[in-house]
Amino acid sequence: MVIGIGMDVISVARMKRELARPDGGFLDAVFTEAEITQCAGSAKELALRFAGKEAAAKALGTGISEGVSWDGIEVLQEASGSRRIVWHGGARLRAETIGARAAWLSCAADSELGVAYVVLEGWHDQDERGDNLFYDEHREIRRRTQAF
Amino acid sequence: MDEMKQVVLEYVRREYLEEDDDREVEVDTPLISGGIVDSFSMVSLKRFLEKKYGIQIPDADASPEAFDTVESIVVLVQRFGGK
Repeated sequence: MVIGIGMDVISVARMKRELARPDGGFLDAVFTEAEITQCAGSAKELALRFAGKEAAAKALGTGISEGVSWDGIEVLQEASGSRRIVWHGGARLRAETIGARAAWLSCAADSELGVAYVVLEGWHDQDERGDNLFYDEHREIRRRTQAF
Repeated sequence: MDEMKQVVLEYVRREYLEEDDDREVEVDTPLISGGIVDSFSMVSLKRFLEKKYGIQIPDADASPEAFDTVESIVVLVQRFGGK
């Protein structure tokens, strides 16, 4: 069952401007070491990852607040080239609290824009009465509660 | 406090209003809910405040509500020792 969606778009030029600021610090304030290493200074790739973080924060229903911080949402690239979200700290806690078992990230960038879309899949489903069914990892019903 | 308000106000006007943007920004103008400052801009605004006033604002306290007006920003800066 889908329990959250979020999307975001960031201008690559805007990212370039931010990176060019003489006082710096933007990278460290937003991205993890692994993200910075993977992006290798590419404004296009950083814009895409920023959009991914923001989209994920929206899908959590909090944005970057309520304990969900930039470094709590890590967008990492797999060997296949696809990117995935890794939760940490307050973001992980929030994802667990709302019952998210998977975060599906789709993102793309060209020379102008980085765009990301995140769908959160929950552990629960609903039966014909509208009650929530929570599953374990074997898809066995673990808990049943009344509709939210 | 008035001087701090002026510094923050000038920064917001300079950094976040486009040249052709004729919106008036005052100390009580909603910045985030008004679409002037977004999450991306909040990062640079928070860094500006920390450098300018020699403070550290924890991410947990850098909420959209705390950054929504120049007045609320100044309250936040002072809460963390900015003078």
